[in-house]
Amino acid sequence: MYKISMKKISILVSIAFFAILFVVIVILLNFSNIVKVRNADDKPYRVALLLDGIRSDRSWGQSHYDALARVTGDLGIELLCRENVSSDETFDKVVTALIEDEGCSVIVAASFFYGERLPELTAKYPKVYFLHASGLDSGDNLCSFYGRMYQYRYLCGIITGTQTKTGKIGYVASYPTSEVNRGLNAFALGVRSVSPDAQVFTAFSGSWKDSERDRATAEKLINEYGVDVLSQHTDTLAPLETAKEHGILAAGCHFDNSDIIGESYLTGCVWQWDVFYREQILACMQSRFHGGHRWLDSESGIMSIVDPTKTDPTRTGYEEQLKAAQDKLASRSFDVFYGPVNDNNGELRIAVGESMSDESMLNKFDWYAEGVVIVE
Amino acid sequence: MNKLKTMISNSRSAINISFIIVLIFVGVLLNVRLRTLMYDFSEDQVAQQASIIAEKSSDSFGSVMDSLKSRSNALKDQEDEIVQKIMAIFSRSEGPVTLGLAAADGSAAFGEPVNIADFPAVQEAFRGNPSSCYNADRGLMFCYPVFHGENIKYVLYEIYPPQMLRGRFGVHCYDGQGRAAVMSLKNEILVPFADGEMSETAQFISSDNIPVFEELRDDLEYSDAVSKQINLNGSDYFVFASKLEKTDYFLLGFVPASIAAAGANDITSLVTNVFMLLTVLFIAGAIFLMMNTIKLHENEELVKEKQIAEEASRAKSEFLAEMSHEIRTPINAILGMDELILREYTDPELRKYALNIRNAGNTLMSTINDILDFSKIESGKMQLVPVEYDVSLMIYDLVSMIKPRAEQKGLNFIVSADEKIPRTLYGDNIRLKQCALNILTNAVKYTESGSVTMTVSFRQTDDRHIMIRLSVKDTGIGIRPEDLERLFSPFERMELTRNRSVEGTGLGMSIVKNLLAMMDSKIEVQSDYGKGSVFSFEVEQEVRSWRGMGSYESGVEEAANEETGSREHLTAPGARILIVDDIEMNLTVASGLLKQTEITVDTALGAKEGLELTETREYDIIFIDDRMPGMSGVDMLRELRKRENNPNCGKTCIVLTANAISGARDNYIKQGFEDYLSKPIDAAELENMLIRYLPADKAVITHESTETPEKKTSAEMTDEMDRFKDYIGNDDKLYDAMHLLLNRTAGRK
Repeated sequence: MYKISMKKISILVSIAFFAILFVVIVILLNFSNIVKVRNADDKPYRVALLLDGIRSDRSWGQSHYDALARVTGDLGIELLCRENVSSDETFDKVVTALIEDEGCSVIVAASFFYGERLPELTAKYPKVYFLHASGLDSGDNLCSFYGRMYQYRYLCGIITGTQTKTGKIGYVASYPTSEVNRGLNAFALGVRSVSPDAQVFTAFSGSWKDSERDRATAEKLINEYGVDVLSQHTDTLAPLETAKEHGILAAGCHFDNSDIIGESYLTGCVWQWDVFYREQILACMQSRFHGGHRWLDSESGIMSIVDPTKTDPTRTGYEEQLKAAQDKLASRSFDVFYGPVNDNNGELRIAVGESMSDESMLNKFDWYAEGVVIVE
Repeated sequence: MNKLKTMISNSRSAINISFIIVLIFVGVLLNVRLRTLMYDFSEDQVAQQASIIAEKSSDSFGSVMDSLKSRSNALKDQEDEIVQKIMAIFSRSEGPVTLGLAAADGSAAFGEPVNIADFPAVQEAFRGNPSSCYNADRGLMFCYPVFHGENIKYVLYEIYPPQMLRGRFGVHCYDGQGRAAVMSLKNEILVPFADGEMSETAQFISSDNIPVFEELRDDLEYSDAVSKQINLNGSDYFVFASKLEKTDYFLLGFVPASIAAAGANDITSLVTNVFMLLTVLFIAGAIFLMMNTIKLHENEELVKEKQIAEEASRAKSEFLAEMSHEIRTPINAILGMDELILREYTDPELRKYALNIRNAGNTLMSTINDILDFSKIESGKMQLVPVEYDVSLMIYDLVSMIKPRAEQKGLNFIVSADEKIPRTLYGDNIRLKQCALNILTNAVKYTESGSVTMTVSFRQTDDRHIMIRLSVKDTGIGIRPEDLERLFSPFERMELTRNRSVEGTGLGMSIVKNLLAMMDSKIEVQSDYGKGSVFSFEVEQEVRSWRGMGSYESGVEEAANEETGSREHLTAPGARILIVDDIEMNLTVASGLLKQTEITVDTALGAKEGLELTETREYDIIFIDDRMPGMSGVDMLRELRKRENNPNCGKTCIVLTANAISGARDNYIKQGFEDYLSKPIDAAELENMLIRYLPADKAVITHESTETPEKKTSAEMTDEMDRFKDYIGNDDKLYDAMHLLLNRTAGRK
């Protein structure tokens, strides 16, 4: 009896001892893993794009969609796209659904107007990263970004200025925001730098994506003001098409439409977001995202102008001026809004040797440079 | 057996050794893990330290920016002339630092013109953002915008030449034991180590270490400060990096592990030491346990050996019992024959020899009885058989047995018995008497002169029991205190040389001790060496009658009157009995003892012969020996009882046996015997038995002493001798001598 129980006890004790040892060894072996394992679930990583318009607009929307589609395809993650999301409560609902139902980890909001809705949502979902194109706000999980596109509009203006015969250039704009005004002024300064007397007839269509309004605005500028080059800052193809119909040149923006417009497509300042999105999404995936406001310059590689000879190899007369302007910009001793700059009322807005601050350019552009004619 | 043991102990030590190996493995693992953990911890600590150092460093950059800011504010919205004047004041105490005011195109509004392509910070400042940048040739430039209204008119800048950076922005850390440099994102050294040689920084940031720095740079993407342990030139270092706030620079440095992780190393060694201590304790424990296990095994062996020894002891006791029985049988014959001589012959010399034979035989018998008792006690077969008895008779018996011996030695035997002792008690009087007798015998044996005093007293314990106390005081040689212990060991005899003449087995006191223990008592001894001893004991007995026994002699008389006189003699000429025994001598003795009774005695040698006899004649009593070869007495009885046609089927059967083991009597009666007679046959007992069981009409009882029986002739004697010889065997010399003796006796007559 005693012997048996002794034996049993010793066996039990040995088993218990070995078990404890085993657990200790396992814990010791896995210690670092236990500490460092994070995000172990296998759910696909999802990025969502919200557009004011549609993904296939061959403009602002498509520039984002195409870039994100390429990047997410490359990284092997999923891209969800929501189109025609207006910047009211709809935006909130869509974002909430994307995060809570679809499990999206990154929200790309590609409209300036979404900015009003974002503070609430970024606070509500602190673990989701928000990228706001053309936005101005920033936060721990919010990065708003844009490029110094005004430099490229300036270059477009130079090309346009060399190609206009009548000195009358049309500009179909959406709304008079700082961003649009900045682009318009840069374009006008570019035009005037090569054609000092030229005028940029500008009309606001009151929409980013209303083709009819854009068409009507373009028709008006062509028919009533006799512009021979038409540029735009909206997201429709209407101005380009109208220009083509009227046999005049057009300078586009956002997306290279030279292939569908053909010869009448003079140039365009376009986005290639790929580099930026790749960097940002990787940062999100690796949890090293930094919020803030990024105003990317030409070194970022997200902007370019479409070569004017792409649609008409014989096109010429702009090269020298363009080259000079590009060099000047690259030297850092010049920028578009360096003085002297007068507004279209003759007032000196930027004195000689002075420059405009980023703050003013981003938020306080409420005047038009010399040569801009606002058409009601 | 030994092989198995070795195997077991081998496997045990194998298990223990594997335990120890596993423990050591765990220890090493623990140490490694702990070290890793501690290094992780130290890395965190170093990283934290790095971020503090970085803060200090960025503060020193910030202070430059702050002073530029305040000066820029002074220049804000001022006329050019005033700007020039203010700048002149600002630039007075600058020393090697270049202070200037740049226009947007890089031309100098004050001081030297700057090449804007070399200094991107200028344009950044012209966009309204305070900024700094580094040029390997020119040094570190800080730019601050000077506003004119909403726009930026100038950029105020300061350029710190490379040779000055170490002094102005150098970072001291870990009390001069660590090193830290400020680096640009292009891995340019902006500010070299503040301590040590100038060349040290470049050496440190050599191509060998670039991968580590790249790793740190990558890690900086995730956090503001990082640290990593590396081995440089054989010693451990922590390399750390931290971002400098509001700049594009970062801090890069190292600190020897011995300094950064000093505490951690202490903890590691502490834990390791504790673990080692525990391991040592465990090993010690394991060894202890193993030894205990071996001991346990040894104990098991001992227990086994003890069992074997006990078995052997029991076998010895059984052998002794058997031997005693075998010895008792011939003694039985000798004593019986001797008794016959004493009864039948009057020749004084022959009687003297016969008496001597009887004495020697009795002594031998008591010795055998002692051995038998002892062996019974040893083998655990001794049992108490309580009966109702008369105390006075017991005392009388003792006195009558001891008194002659004492007187023979010239000793005075004094008896003092309390007359109030209840007369009838219930207990094992035989064993009680045996104890008393042993003590008394010893007293007489060891007392050369003087007296032996027996005192019997009692005290009442409750309304049904008394403690009867017997003490024996002698004036003998006494016992030395150191011998007291040995007194009760079997086979021990005190002072062998002195007492050589004293006969005895040395078992007496041991038996007494054991018997008393069975009666919940023990013997008390007081001894004065050389003067004498007092042996006493107290035994509880149940009282059956509280009547005092009076003087013990009177009790005996009373008893003699109550019962049929012990000296009564039986004659039953008409009676016929059968005695069955396998030993002819026993038959001879028994029939010899019955000669005077005139009973017709038939004898049968063995059960079968006995059964045959019962078929032909009717007997009044059949005495059957139990132990017989072939068919035992019990079997014979059963067979007899079965044969319903047998005239002796229901006759009285009495078993004769030397099987003196307690409980034997009850057992035989259960088997169907009417009574039980133990061998060697005592003439008186045999007569009592006959009186009890013979039919009253056949038995004639006389109280007178019997007349002298007729004596045998020499010829008859020779016949008996021959029969004797037949039985015993052919020890011719012995029997020649006996024959001669007998003839002589006969001749004298």
